Amino acid sequence: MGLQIEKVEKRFVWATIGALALGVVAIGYSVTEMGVHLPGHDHRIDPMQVVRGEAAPFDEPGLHELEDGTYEAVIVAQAFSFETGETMTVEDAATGADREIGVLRIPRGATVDIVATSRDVLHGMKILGTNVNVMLIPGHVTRVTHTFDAPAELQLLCTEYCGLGHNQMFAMVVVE
Amino acid sequence: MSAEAIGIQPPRTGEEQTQRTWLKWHLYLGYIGLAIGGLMGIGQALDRLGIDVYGTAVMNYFQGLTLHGVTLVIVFTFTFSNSWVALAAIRAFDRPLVNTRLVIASTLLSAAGVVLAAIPMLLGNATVLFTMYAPLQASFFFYLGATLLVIGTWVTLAAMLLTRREWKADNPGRATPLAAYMGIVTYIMWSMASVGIAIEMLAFLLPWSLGLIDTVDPLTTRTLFWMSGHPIVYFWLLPVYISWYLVVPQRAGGRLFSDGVVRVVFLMFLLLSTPVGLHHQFTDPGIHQGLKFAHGLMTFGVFLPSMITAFTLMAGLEDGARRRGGTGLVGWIRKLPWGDPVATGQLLAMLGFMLGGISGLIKASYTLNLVVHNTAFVPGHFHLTVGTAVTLSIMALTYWLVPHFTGKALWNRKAALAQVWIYFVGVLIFSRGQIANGIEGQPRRLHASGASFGSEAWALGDLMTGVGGLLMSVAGVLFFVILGQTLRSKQTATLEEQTLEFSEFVHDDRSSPAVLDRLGLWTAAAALLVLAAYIPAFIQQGFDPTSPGFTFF
Ligand code: HEM
Ligand SMILES: [Cu+2]
Ligand SMILES: [Cu+2]
Repeated sequence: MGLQIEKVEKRFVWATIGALALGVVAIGYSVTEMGVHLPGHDHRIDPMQVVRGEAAPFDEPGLHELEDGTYEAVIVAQAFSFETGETMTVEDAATGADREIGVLRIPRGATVDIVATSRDVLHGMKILGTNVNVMLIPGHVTRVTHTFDAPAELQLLCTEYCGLGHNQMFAMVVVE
Repeated sequence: MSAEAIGIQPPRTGEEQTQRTWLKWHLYLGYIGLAIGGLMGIGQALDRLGIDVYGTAVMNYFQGLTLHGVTLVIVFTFTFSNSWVALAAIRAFDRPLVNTRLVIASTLLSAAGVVLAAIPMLLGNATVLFTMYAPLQASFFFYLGATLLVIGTWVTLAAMLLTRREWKADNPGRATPLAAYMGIVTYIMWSMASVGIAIEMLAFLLPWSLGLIDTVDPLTTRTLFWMSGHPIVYFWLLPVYISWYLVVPQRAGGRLFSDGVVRVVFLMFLLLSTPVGLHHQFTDPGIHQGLKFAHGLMTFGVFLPSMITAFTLMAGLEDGARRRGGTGLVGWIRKLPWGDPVATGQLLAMLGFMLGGISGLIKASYTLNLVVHNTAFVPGHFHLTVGTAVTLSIMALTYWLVPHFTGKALWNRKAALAQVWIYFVGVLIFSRGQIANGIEGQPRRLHASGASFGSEAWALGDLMTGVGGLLMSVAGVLFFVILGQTLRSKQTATLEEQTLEFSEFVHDDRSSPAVLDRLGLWTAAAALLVLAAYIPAFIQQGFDPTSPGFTFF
């Protein structure tokens, strides 16, 4: 005898497949029409060279304006801070004490190519209020593009456990 | 089901009795894991309410979180499965496993694994969380312990396969009894999938932590981890599916429709569970988007067998409820066995799993993953899946398993009913809080009381996480009270209470196509899919071990 399956169940299976297919179409739409992209393969880099400051562009962290009017933001992560070329003083939410952390000052409306890597272990990088949310893996370059439309002070958080200081690891993005 | 093996009865032979004793201790080992992990959970819930028990330096937050993750999703789940699935196979084949030494070996491997991994975790030499991403480097013994726990599952598979071969020789032409079939397919799926973590351990983390090699490639080890790390969720879930299919409809008085469809569901998990792991690496550098998309697409495929399960079970439950006098479009739900903690806990677990499945599909949705990756949304999701669908089902099944293993009557049925409800309500509140905060960008792996950053938008979610988490903790304590009181009880369980009957089918195994029983064929097909999904991934990402180990803990 062949496989026994109820008629309603068969219809249910087809309805499920239809719903999943619709989901795939929506995902395709988000990529091709809305331009939402995941990070892909960029290039490998020797993390020890990053440590020694020998690996461009990570020898010069910070925001750089390029010739075509767009920007490149170079960020180096390490336990437990983000190097962004510039620092600012903030009040630490846990201790209440003042602290120096990295800051990225971005002109409003700028489209920024963020290029980042890690010097040591895995870190994450999520800018609250945006869809910038990527992994930083030693040996690899993470690249993600975002347009900062409105003036804002955004927290850039480490989102991957990197050691006991993980929850102290953040920076600011100031869109001005 | 064949006529002679329609459920789990008390043992018939001495050898079987010996095996059950070992399976019982294997199960108890899991309860120890649940107790330690749950205790850590209390601290995490309090942390969200602003009460920092880790400030006292008994242990830091991430050490606690490592214990929470490892003892719950590696120790507790594995040991339960090794015990329950083997027990179901013994009864389905209606003979002891071949052979008792393998049953003992599996138990001892798990026990050794627990001890080896626990010591460095407690000493703070392995605060790397259960994902153990290199180049954070834990103690050699931690990795060794995890490896032994995995090998213990392989030994259980070996015992079941040998038993199946013997049974087949005695029953030529017959399909493997369903309960054993489900367990064996689950274990084949996991044993194949765990090759990823086995390579990660044997080729990289073990020699690296011993100092035999200096550097590793963190993307390689991470990819190997997730090659096993996605299918592991089905290794947690499918043993519970066995109970959802074979125990719950029966207790509701219902019949399932087709034995063959259940087998197809398990084969779909065998085929599709593993070639999807890159969906955990959507936001990683170094991996081509096309490969990520392909794994994302396959992930949608593995949603299908769970949807079929939902349909089949619901039909079986409705059948039972209507036979018991239930009427109306939804009114029949009232006639489900709500007075039976074993069934009720699992019915609630199924409800939780619906939310868990949907939140999982959201995370798997490629671009949408950017919104929630590594946020509190993720624990919000998996406390509904492994934390509810699996854990609540295991707790409910315990109310049968322990009387079965010990012959002692369940201490207090009302308390058991209250326990599963409190846990369920707790986890709904908890996960609502975590999911909302995840959408607001709150990272997971967050020592909230000690974090330098934060957002006012997280206040309500933290409160819900804390309050829900404490309710779960209350239910956890109650579970161990019931367990302890049952073990101390002098009242013996009736034969009926010790017996677990399996669901009947409208179309039983005689109607199922013989090709479903060709497990070698299906395993080969699954292996091909894994190779097709991962060979391009490993070639594309290359291999360049440049990372030395770090111990930032
Ligand atoms: C008393 C009940 C429980 C409470 C209050 C609780 C609470 C939590 C919280 C708040 C987190 C997030 C911690 C963070 O990201 O910083 C967490 C993580 C986690 N929980 Fe639970 N949990 C409980 C039970 C369970 C159960 C039963 C399981 C599985 C069987 C489980 C598995 C996990 C896992 C795997 C993690 C992730 C650990 C990591 O990120 O490395 N939890 N739990
Ligand atoms: Cu971090
Ligand atoms: Cu997954």
